[in-house]
Amino acid sequence: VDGQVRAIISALRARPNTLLTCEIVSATAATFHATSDSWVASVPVRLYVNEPAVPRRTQIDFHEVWWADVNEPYSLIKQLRFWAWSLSVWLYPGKVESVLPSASAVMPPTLPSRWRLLNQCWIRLRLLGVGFVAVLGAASIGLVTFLAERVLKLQYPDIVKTFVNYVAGVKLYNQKQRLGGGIPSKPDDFLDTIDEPPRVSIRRRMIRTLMTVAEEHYERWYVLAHSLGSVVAFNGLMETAYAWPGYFDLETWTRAKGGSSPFAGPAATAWPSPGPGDTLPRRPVWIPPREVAYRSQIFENLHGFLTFGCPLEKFAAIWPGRVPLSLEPAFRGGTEWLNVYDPTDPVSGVLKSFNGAPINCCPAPRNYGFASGPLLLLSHIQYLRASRTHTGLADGIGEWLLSGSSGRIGVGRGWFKPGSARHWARTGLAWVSWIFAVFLLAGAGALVLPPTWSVAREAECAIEHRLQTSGLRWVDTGCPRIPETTEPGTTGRSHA
Amino acid sequence: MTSLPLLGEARVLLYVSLALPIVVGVIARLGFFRLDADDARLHPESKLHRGTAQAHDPDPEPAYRTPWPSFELTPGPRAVELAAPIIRETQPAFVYRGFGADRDAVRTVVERVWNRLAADREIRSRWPLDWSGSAPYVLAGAQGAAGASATLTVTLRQNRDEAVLREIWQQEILPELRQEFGANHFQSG
Repeated sequence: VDGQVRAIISALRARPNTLLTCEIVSATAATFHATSDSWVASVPVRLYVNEPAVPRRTQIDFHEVWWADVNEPYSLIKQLRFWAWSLSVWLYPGKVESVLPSASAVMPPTLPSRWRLLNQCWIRLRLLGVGFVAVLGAASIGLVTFLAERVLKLQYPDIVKTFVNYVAGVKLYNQKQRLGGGIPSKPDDFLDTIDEPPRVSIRRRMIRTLMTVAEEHYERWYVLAHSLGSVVAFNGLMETAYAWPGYFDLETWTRAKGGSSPFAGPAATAWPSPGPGDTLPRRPVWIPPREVAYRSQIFENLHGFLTFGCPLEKFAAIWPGRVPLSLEPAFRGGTEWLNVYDPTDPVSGVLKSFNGAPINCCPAPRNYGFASGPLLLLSHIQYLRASRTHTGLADGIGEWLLSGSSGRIGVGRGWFKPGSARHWARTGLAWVSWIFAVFLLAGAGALVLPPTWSVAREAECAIEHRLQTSGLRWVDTGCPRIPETTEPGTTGRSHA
Repeated sequence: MTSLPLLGEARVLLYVSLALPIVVGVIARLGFFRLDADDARLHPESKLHRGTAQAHDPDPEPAYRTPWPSFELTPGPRAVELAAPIIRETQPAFVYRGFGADRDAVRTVVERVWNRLAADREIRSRWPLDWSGSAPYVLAGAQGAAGASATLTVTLRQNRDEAVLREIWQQEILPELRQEFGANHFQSG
């Protein structure tokens, strides 16, 4: 939340005559595994904004959905599993749709039929390309950093660890079980999700935060989601009313049922209710059979949903069953879904498959291209960069939060429409960058790998010779044989 | 390997890098990957769920009926301070002379028709358009008073999709307006 909010604060401060105070809301205890004890789960950051043209002071609260602790602990076996997964993900089985009875309340995202198969093949081919580049990167950058640390004792940013932990979130989201360290790895599910996939834990964080925000009764509220967080946020927004109780504890649920406009209660009489085990997560044992979340009440003041660097279209092609659209009405008319992408960010993309449901069930996404950064991959984390002309995404978000108008998102320098000339120019830039990166990594690997190989080979032969002198058998790997010594008074060595 | 020149080594590395994910992928697909327990392909008898999806409304008293008011930026104190012009209105698309109906009532009907169209999947698929938000038509001009001098101007709020928005107005919205208020109020001028 620190990185994202920092950019928005800078954008708000850049507005003429706007005064702003930022508070970090302290807590008595930190969120589990949080890096700072000031990060309370409910409202970690609060802004007060004074605008000369607006008579009242605006308060903006930022809530964070924290789920880094759900990720598996970093270990050797995690790295091995990750590399096996990342090299094979292009052939990972699709998840088309579920047969759980509650699945009748959702629909998978769909492209027009003539594009569907082509799109699936294209995305799988690109994932194969990612595996290809990952191997090249490991054989060049990975090897150099490994040797620099082990041989030269140089400290460097742990690129591999960052990469593994970051992308492993995608792997985790498709895993059936959370695993711990050690070989063989033991299941390490959280107690509240035993026998359920770890993504349930992640969605729980999202849905609980949605409820927390709704309970604050803000005048307007928004969901801002980056990267894989877009999938988590989308899942949270689309989760069916009958499945919601499974994400809560009894105390919270009881509170949600209270008040003049409750957020939960008995379902409408005409509404078909599935059985207790028909949802994922399972409904708690304390819930009455027909009780549901009133999503339309919860989302009453949700004004917009912003995704940037969003991989939802990739999920829609390979795992549409993981990102279904709700068919239960819940959103007010005028609720916006804005998607910001950059062709040089391979994670992001134009959302084309999410227009199938009625807009009060799932708002149709509006796609905006944005030149977030000049470099391939790095652009994925530069969407909220500062803009000299104050027309960046952070500036647009600032306006959206303050005035309710999304009119500054998509307008100005750096913005373009899907299919426009600039869209294709940046797509071309991305492909040129990929080709350049491949040749650069191949060249670097060709420089580093042979000498490393030679050194490793010499070490292996030295070990083999030592074993030979001890009369031990060793797999013959073609090392040059040690000549027999024929000095007087010594006996010749015999190879076992 | 070390005897190869740099280009040759790079080429070998490229081949290996391409072959590795292919081999690992095929092995994983054949030997390790499993479908989810609730995957439709494992339960062909349950394919009845396909195509039967329909919208449910579990809330007894849904709160989503009231649409968000339009937060489109308009000229005013807040807009003045912005660095770039961001009003997306274009030139008036339609002008009706002799307009005598209540403009607010017309606006309400336009919103109603727009929401109905936006909620209809078949209609949305017919018009290639972003359907989110309120109706992208701005109504201005004389209000209420009947007479030859009164006019209603309709401006498109989004400058993209202009042709589509014009067509929707002509084919979907205008007929309902004429039916509701009378054709005499909507004489093109």
